[in-house]
Amino acid sequence: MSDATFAAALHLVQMKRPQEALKKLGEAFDPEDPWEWWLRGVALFDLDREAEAAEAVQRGLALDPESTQLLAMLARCRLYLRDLGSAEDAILGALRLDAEDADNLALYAHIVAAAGQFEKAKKLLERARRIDPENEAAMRMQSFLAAARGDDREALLHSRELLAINPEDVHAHRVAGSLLHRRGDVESAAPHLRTAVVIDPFEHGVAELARENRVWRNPFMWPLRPLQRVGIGAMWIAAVTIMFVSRRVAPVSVQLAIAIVWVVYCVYSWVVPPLVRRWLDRHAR
Amino acid sequence: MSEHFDDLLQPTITAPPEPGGKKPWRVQSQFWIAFFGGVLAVTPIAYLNTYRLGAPKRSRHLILLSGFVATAVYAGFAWLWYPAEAYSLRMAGRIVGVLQYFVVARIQRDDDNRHQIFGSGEYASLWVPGLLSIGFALGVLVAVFTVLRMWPK
Repeated sequence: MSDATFAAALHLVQMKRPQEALKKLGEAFDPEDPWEWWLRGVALFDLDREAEAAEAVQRGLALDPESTQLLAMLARCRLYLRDLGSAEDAILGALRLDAEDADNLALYAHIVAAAGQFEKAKKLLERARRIDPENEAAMRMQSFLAAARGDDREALLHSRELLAINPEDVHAHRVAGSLLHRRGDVESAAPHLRTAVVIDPFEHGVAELARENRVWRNPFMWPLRPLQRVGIGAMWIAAVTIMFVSRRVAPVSVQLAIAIVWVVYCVYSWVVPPLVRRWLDRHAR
Repeated sequence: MSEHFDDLLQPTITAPPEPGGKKPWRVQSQFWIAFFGGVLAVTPIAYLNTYRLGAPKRSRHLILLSGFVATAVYAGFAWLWYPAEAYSLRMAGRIVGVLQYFVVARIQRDDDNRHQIFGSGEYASLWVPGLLSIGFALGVLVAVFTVLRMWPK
C-alpha cells in the first residue's frame, strides 16, 4: 500500500469514518505490513467489532512482536471484550518496552480499574501525570476513576482540568455534565451535555442524558427537582417520618393534609415526567 | 525507575469482574424491595447482585452480616411488641428494612459505580425477582407470626 493510501485511511479513522477507512485499506492491503494490521484493528474497534480488531492486531503482532502501539491496541480490544487478564498481559508487554509511556500507563489504569483495583489505578495515573503532567488520557481516566469511587468533587475537578487543555474533549464534557445533572444542578450540566452531543452525536449515552437534562429543565419539572437532588429514597423517608410523627403530635386534619399533599406529589412525579418527555420529543421532530 | 513503580507493573488481575455475564440490578430500585418487603426481601437481592456486579467476597459477607444484624434487631422489636403493638411493629419492620437498604446500597456502591463507568452500564429488570423476593419475605413473616400465635403462652 502506498503512503498516500495509508494516510488517507488513517485520516478517515481520525474523522470517525471507520467503514470508509476499511474500504480504503481493502483497496491495496499488504498483509506483510504490521501498521496496516494496526490501522485495520483501529477501524474495526471503532465499529465495535472488538473480536475482529483483536484478531487483526494479533496478525500485526506476529510480524512485529515489539510494537507498543499494537500491544496497546490489543490491550484495548481485550478490555472491551471484558477479558481483563489478557488485556493486562498485553499492556504490560507494551510497558515493559516503554515504562514511561503515559498513555499506556493510563490504559493500564483503565484495565485495573475495570477489575475493581481502584487504588492501583490511582497510583498508575499519578505516575502517568508525573511523567506527562498534561496527558489527556491520564486526566480523563482520573476523572472516571474519581466518579467510580463516588468522589464527584474530584471527578469534576479533573474534568475541568482536562477541559482547560482541550475544550472539545467529549469525555470530560460527558463526565462533568452527568455529574452535575446527577447532583441536581441541571442548568450547569446543560452546556456540557449540549457540547458533548455536538462533538459526538453518535454517542448514544450522552444523547440520552442530554435529552433527560432537557426534560428536567422544563418548568413543569421544577417541583420535582428536590427528588433529583436528594433522591427518591430520601424523599420517601422524609415523608414517612413526617407522617409517622404527625400521627403522634398533630390533629387528624393536619395528618390528612400531609397525606394528601404527599399523594398528589407522588402522582405528579409519576404523570408529569413522561408527559414532558413526550411533549419535548414531539417538539424536537 | 523507582522500586514503587516496578511493583505497580506486576500483573494483579486474576479473574474477570463480571462472571456469568448477567446484567446486575439497579441499586436504587432495591429501595422499593426494602420498603415493601423489609430486611428479608432486600438482603437476598443485594447478596445475589454482588455476584452480578462481580463484587469481592468481602461485600457478600458484609451484606449477610448486616442482614443478620437487621433481622435480629427486628426480632427484638417483635419480642417486645408482639402482639400488642402490631402497628408499631409494622413500622419498625419498614424502618429496619429501609435502613438495611442504605447499608447494602453503600456496600454495593463502588462495584455499581465501576459497572456504570468501566462496565457495560446496562441493568436487568428487577420486577420479577423483586416481587418474588417480597413474596418470599412476607411468606416467611406470615409463617413465623402464625407459629408465634399458636405458641402456648
